[in-house]
Amino acid sequence: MYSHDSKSDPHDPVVELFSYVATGNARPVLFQVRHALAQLLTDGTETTIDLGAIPFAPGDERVLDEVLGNGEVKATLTVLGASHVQETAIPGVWRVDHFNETGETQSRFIEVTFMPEILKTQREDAALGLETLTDRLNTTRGLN
Amino acid sequence: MTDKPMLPDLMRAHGISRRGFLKYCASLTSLMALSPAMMPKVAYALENAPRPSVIWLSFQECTGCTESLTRSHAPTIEDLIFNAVSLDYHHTLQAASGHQAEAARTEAMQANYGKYLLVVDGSIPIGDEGYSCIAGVSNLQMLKETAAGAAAIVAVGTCAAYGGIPHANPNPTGAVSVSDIIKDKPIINVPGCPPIPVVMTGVLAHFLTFGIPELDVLNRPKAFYGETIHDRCYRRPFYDKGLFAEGFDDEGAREGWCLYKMGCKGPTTRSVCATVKWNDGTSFPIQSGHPCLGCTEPNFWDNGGFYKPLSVPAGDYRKAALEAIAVGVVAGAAGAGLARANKSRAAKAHEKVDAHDLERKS
Repeated sequence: MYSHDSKSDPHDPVVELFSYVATGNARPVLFQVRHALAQLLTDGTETTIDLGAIPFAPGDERVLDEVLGNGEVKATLTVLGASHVQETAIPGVWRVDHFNETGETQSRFIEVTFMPEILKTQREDAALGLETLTDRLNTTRGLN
Repeated sequence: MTDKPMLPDLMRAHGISRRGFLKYCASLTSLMALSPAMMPKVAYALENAPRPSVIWLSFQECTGCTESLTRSHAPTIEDLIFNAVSLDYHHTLQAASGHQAEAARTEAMQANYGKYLLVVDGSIPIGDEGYSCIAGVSNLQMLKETAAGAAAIVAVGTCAAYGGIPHANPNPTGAVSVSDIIKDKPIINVPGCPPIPVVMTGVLAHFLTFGIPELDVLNRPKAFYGETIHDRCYRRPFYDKGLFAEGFDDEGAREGWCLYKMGCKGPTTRSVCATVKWNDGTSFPIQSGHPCLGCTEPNFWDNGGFYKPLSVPAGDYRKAALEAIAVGVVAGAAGAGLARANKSRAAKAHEKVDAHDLERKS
């Protein structure tokens, strides 16, 4: 967790960003994320925070991005429009943003989990995949 | 109703994966203002819920509610019509007209009697039923006969919920709300002028998945009308610090301070404007610098001035001033004279006029 004790350092980019924030709502959300991450490690409980339910001023989300940072995994799903799934620089904390076919935002979440459910192959899709592969092998019988 | 395909079947038929279904459910859960932990239950309900027939009646209205709904982005009206509900009658959106349209309504009522969802926008005139008719049938008669076979009624917009602007003083048509007429059916009020599009679709989605949502004393879904705009307003910290804009172009306005003194009705208005916002979550009136008018509350049009702070007693300023002058109250006359003098002086000096001046001079 990024320590925000460094108010004395005016060159700290996070301190600079916080200076633009009018609501102060980003910091409580970040503490909620820290609590959720501790719970994930303690008993495996996963948490999803709906960012659409929280009043944010324009700068708040920038603060979230800056404090959480970008991690090692970044995935783009193409299903009913795009979905961006990004692990933050805090492993176990993910940003999941859903968009519709015209690029408008549908919903935005922070997921505290080892693996977001939306990234996993779903059993029903795998079953359909098995049928598809079987059909393709049947139609290509005789080919080397 | 049972012969209509279920939503997952429809999605599969359109080549949408289970992952796509989960995405749809995640956004729908957010839209309904439910906890993300409810997402699996939403998915289960959608997998097992039949698609209800929906009949939509528009009475004394401006079509603003339908305009708003058709601009909903999550899910789109197309999602609702083609995937989740069977919209069998909506005279603005349907292709049929005249007798064919009315036949579609009658057919849908007979086929789904006791099970269909009735959505109403607009108020109903009872002063003279002839003020508003559709195909020669008065609004009052059409509402009564259609409501008789409905499972529930959704009153969309402030006109259907409370009577709205047609009900405003002096109410020439005798406009009333749906709940003033129908007493024996569950009624969900979704007020707003218009309501936020995703709130309308969210209420319909809730009806599809979990039935009638929990309602407040005015029959509004608590998920969307449980808190005041003031509770969730990003300008609330300025209110708490006592920092207020007092004009549309003063320092407070430029700094984005609280609009309470400009007449903002946010503290007494229940809606999710501050979080869900409008135009794909872009903004809402207070973010754009204008006080909330309180359009989700009953009689918002007649509740004193839009620019009068809530702390000022409600009432018709102009009428009060005339009465004061009529009975020769010296202070009142002097005050009116002073206001005129101030107005004249301001005009000469190009002095800025704020919301309080607008109220005093009206």
